[in-house]
Amino acid sequence: MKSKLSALKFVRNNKRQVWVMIIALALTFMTMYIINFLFLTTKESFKALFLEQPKRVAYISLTPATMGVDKEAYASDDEYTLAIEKARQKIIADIRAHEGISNVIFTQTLSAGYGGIVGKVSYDFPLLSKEQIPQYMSHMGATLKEGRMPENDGEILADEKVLKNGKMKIGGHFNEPVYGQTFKVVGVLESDYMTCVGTPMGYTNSGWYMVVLCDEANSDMTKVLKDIGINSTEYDTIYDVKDWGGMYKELVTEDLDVALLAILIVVIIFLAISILVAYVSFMRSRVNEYCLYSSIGFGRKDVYGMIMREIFIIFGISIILGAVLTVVIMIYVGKFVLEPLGLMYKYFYPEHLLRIIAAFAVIIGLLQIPISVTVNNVKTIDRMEE
Amino acid sequence: MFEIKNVSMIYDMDLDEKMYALNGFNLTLPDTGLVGVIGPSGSGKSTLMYCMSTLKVPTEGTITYNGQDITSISARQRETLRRNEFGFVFQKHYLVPYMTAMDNVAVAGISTDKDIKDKAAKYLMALGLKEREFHKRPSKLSGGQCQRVAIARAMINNPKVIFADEPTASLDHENAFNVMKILKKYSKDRLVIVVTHDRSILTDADITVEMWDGKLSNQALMG
Repeated sequence: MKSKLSALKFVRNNKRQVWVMIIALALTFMTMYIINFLFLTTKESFKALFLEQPKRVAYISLTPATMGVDKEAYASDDEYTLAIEKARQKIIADIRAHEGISNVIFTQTLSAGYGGIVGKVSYDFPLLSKEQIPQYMSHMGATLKEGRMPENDGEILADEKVLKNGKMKIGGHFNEPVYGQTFKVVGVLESDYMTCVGTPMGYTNSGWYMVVLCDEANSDMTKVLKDIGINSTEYDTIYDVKDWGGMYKELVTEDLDVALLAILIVVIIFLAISILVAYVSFMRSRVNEYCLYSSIGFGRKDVYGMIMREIFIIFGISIILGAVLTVVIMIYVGKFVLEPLGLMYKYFYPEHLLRIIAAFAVIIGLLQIPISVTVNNVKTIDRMEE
Repeated sequence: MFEIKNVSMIYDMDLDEKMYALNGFNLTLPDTGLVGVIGPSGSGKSTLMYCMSTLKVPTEGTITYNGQDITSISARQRETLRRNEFGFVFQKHYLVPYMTAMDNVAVAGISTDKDIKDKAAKYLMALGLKEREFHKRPSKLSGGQCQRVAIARAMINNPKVIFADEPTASLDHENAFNVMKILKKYSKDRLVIVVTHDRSILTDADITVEMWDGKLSNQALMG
């Protein structure tokens, strides 16, 4: 015996209304996921810089006080400078001798920029002698993909993603001129750590650092320094795995998550209002139908069940259509927008997918208000004719 | 089939002067036949039909249907009764605007989908609709065709009783006559109760119940 009111009849016979609703929901699904996809492209792209590169290389600049050099103890600036240099050389030698450290080079660095869809980050890379560059490349697992090795001063090898991101090419300038001088790109590197390296050329837009080539287990420079008897302070500059990791968590992960959540909430509020208004209108136009069902022997539960099945069909199709549209758009955006910008991305974010489905569930939950009001007000036809 | 005893229906119970739609009404009806309930507006004829069909519960009295007092059963039991045993033709056709004629008939069906479609087609055909009209929506059908679809919907479960409230009110004379012919035919082995204020459509009625002020009028039953 047939015991249910068919939800398919409404869906099949009101294609225009239903498809408007399905397309609106599918586009909302797609928008929510694509916003997430684009925002998290930044997260993915910055991961190599913030989390991976510091596992291989760290930058240390210690104050004279940390190095144990007291200016008052020296009669002239030259003596003081010499004492600092001596202390630094000792520290470099000690760090070199530390387990997991393959080399320490005190050198100039150059600052490079790398921008995501939201936000931009600056990071330093070493300027080395042309003889030191192969060792650095080998340590960073970088290979020359195109171009040549630096032969003269002011020549740069850069990761292909960094070059794409900065719209730079071999033969072109690397970043903006520094004090009128520009570095020239001579080669493209392929690496997992956004590796850049070059030869010095007088002034740079960054400073001098002890560049520590380390392994992952010994990438915490505060600990390494402590191991060699140096207690670093807040006045020292240490760019290592802890520092970059902290920045990634604070600036990239947390800020992005907050922004994404805020966007999601705003979208849900607008979507919920739109859907509620549309559904109230849908149901108002169907009051006579519900009253007929009630009169010919279907209960309020049957009417409620039919409405809910209609909603599940509409939301179900919307999610499937939204997912298909999302995949198509992501593939297109990834290939033609993100890759040319040198950005890294991934398609599948299960936690965000669950968030969107939860948002749809909340909207279905909110729909219970007008549905319950309508169903509870369903009259039999005798009462309508009075 | 129906035994109505001392049934009263009072509206505005809270007022000092109560409004009796039915006032101590008594009536017994057989299992088959065409019963016409006639009377002027406000005489209580529609209220009587709604009480008999369980759409309303009377304030007082009992209505026994096949030995069961249907005034004291639960809302769910009343729904089941309406769905399985009764058919309804309302003053307006109340067809679902987005459904085809066929779907409008099938929507009330209680058997399997395939069976319902066959039955719906059979009834629509019997009621004079052409096959090409089965898939038309109510907006594409004439008033008479819509009312015939509504009658087919009332008949789809082969109910023991059909309640028809002013079924010809919105029809021209010819269509009204045709509808009554269909109901008369159905009443050969079922009970059809037609509420109307138009005496002319009840010429073929087996029983005519005339009402006045919620009671049987002096002429009461005419067989």
